[in-house]
Formats: sequence, C-alpha cells, structure tokens
Amino acid sequence: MARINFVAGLVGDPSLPGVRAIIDRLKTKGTLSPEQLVDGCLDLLGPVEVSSETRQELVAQAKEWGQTGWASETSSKTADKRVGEMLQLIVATREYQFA
Amino acid sequence: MAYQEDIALMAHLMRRAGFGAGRDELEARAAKGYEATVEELLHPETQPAVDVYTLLRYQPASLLPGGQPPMGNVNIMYHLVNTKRPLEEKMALFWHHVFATGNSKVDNYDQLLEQIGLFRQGGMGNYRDLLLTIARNPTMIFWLDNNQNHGTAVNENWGRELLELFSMGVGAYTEKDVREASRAFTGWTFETKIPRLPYGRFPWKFEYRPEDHDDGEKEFLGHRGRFDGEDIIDIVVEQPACARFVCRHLYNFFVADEAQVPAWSIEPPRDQKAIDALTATFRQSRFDIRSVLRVLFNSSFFKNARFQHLKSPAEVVVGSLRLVGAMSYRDPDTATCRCSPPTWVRTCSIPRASRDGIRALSGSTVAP
Repeated sequence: MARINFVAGLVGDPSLPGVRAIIDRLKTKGTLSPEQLVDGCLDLLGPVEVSSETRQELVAQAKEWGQTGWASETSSKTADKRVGEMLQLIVATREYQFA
Repeated sequence: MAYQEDIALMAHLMRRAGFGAGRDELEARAAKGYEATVEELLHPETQPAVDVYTLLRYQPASLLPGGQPPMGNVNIMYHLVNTKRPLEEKMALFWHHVFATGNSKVDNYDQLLEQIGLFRQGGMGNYRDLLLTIARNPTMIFWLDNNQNHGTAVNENWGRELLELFSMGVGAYTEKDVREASRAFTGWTFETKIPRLPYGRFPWKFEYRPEDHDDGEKEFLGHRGRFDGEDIIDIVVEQPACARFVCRHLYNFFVADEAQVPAWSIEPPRDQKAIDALTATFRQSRFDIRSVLRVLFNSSFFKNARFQHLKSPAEVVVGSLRLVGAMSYRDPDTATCRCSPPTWVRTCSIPRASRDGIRALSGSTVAP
C-alpha cells in the first residue's frame, strides 16, 4: 500500500509539470469518451499494458463520470481532476507494479 | 502502429535501463533509434553530469552528511531523480544491491556516498577492477570486518562474502577456499578510526599492513602460491562460476525476476540461453560490463521481457518523481522553505520526500 499511496499522491496533482504534460496531451484530442480517457491515460503513463478485466474496471469507473472535455473553464477543472483520478486508479493496478 | 510499437519498446528500455521517461523524451529517443539510445545510455560521459552545485546551494549538508543519514539520502535521491545519465545511476544501484553495505553499521554517510560514487564511476567498467576497488574500499572493509582479519587471527567474513555473494555463489567453492581467501586478505585494512567526537566523522583511507599479512603459501580453487588479495580476485574472475553468477545478477536486475540469490545453486536460470550469451560476452571481453550490457539490451530476450519484472521500491519512487517532474531544484522560490503542504514534493521539502521515499526504498513498509 505504501508504494501505491506514494505514487497516487503524485500523479493526482495536476500542478506538477509531468502530470500537466499528460493532461495537455489528452486535451489535444478534444472531448474524450470513457474508453478514450482510459486508453489515453494508460498510453501516456507508459504505455502500460493491462488485462481486459482491469481495463473494464477502469472503463466502468470512467463511464460513471461520462465524457471528459476541456470546452469551458468549469469543465476544464473537472476534466483535470478526472485525469488525475484516472491516473491514480491506474497506478493502483497490479499491472502498474511491473516494469 | 509501428510507431506505437517503437514507443512501447523505448518505454521498456527506459524503464529498465533507467527510471522511465515521459512521452516527449520517448518520442525523441524513438526518432533517434533504439540501438543509438542504447549506446548513449552505455556512454554516460556523453551527457552532462548532475548539477551538484545547485544541490549544495540549497542543501549544503548533503555534501558530507556524516551522522545525518537523511541528508545523505537527499544526495542520492537528487542524483537519481535529476540525472541525465540514467544507466549510470541504475548501475550504481545495481552494484549497491550486489555489494550491499549500510549506515546501520558503517555510521558514516560520507563513506557511503563515496562508495556509491565508486559504483557510478566504475559500474559499467571492468568487473575485475571493480571487485578489487571494493576489496580496498574502507566502507566494505569495515562492513565485513576485514579490519579484524589478522595474519595471526583470521576473520572469514569478507573472504566468505566475496565468494558467496559477490562473485560465484554457493556451491562453487569449499570451506577451505573461504579460509585460504581470507588469509590472503589479512593486512587489508584502513587507517585507525578516530572517535567521532569532538570533530565529527573523518574520511577513511585504505591501508595495507605487511606486518599483519599472512604471506604463507595458500591453496585456493586448485591454485597454489603465496597469494595476496589481488591474486585471489584474479583467480576468482577466471572461474566459469563467476561469469554465470554476475550475468545472472544482471539478468535478474534488468530482464526478468529470478529466484532469490541463495537458491541459485539449486534453481536453474529462467533463461539458460540468455545467461549463456551474456556469460560468453563477459569472458570474451575480459569482464567488461559495458559489453555485457550492450548484448543484453539489444537482445530479443530483453525486448520480449516487458512487464516481467516487479518494480523495486527504488524504481517506483524515483520513476514516479521523474515522471511528474518533481524535485528539480530549478526554481529558487521552491527552495525558500515557504511552500505549503500541497507542494511538498518541491525543493525545500526534499528531506521529507526522501524520508518517505527512502522508507519505501528500504522495502520495510512496502507490500510485495
């Protein structure tokens, strides 16, 4: 748990330059579907390869959030937060513990 | 699709030969090419060294931390997170993993930093030379009690670990070989330790005392002569077991997780052909680690081993800090110790970041 919490505490902070860079890259793709959000985050965090079960779990969470977009200031803040939370979920997966 | 595969392969290389890389760096390296990137990693001198002056400007106590281990941790973490020579630091970690010492006994972090510096300097050089350097390194001498290894009263701690942990592994030598090796290293010590009060720690220096050396004839691994420690190392590195042991360590660290080292005498390697290829290079190159690493990183067994290695605590902590761009020391404002808790992973709070990181590095609080 210590290692997961350590990483999650970092990747969930959109003010950090590396996290910001991931968000900015995702932003260029426009409004993201739940699947696109998951795949985009997996790609930019590694690329990280996950099992289909893990991906389904991540997509299920992303679906609860709906689409992610940066069209307005309000939606941008929400989108930044969601990207951070998705990155936190990914670094907590079993697959992320492997190199 | 081919481009995406290039990125994935480059990410694999950078995770293993370094501590990972962000997308901008991966794209630049993919454009440069895989083999060219391997060569760059193998020749760290082509990249700028870590800017230690910036570190010392903000954390001067990290130069000679002496009895302040957190400041020594800051020094090591700063190098790991900020290096542009990732394989150099990775090899320093590798050799520290093999030639393990610790402040719990050494109680002199200046010496530990000096030892890490030796690994940085010689980590990709000649294994025989590195082994000899470590045999003469005061930190290792104290860690394994060779300063208590006298011509008239042999202490086998260093002699045993040299064979068991540092060069060949269990099963490649006898108890008599341990005894004879230990005899050969009598008189290899360091200058008398001075009490650390009132002036604090002081630098340790290797010292050979001929009057304390057992100069008699020895029989070691089938060789007979009036050997000293250097002779023992020359015999050891020529053993096939030594090549297999070092190369299996490299495979375990860089390619895929192996059984724990004490089981190597009964557990065959995960990939015997890979070990054979590395071993052949090790011997043909006369123990040149850079040559072995070149074969390793360019091999198909390495390229096909993605996600077959559980990240070590160091890889988790350092890789994460590099990924998010923390701990750069570049912004003077963050060095004024005025930043608030949400920005704790900035310059002024590196001691805290290091403490948390080092706790994770120690493995004591990390679930496997």
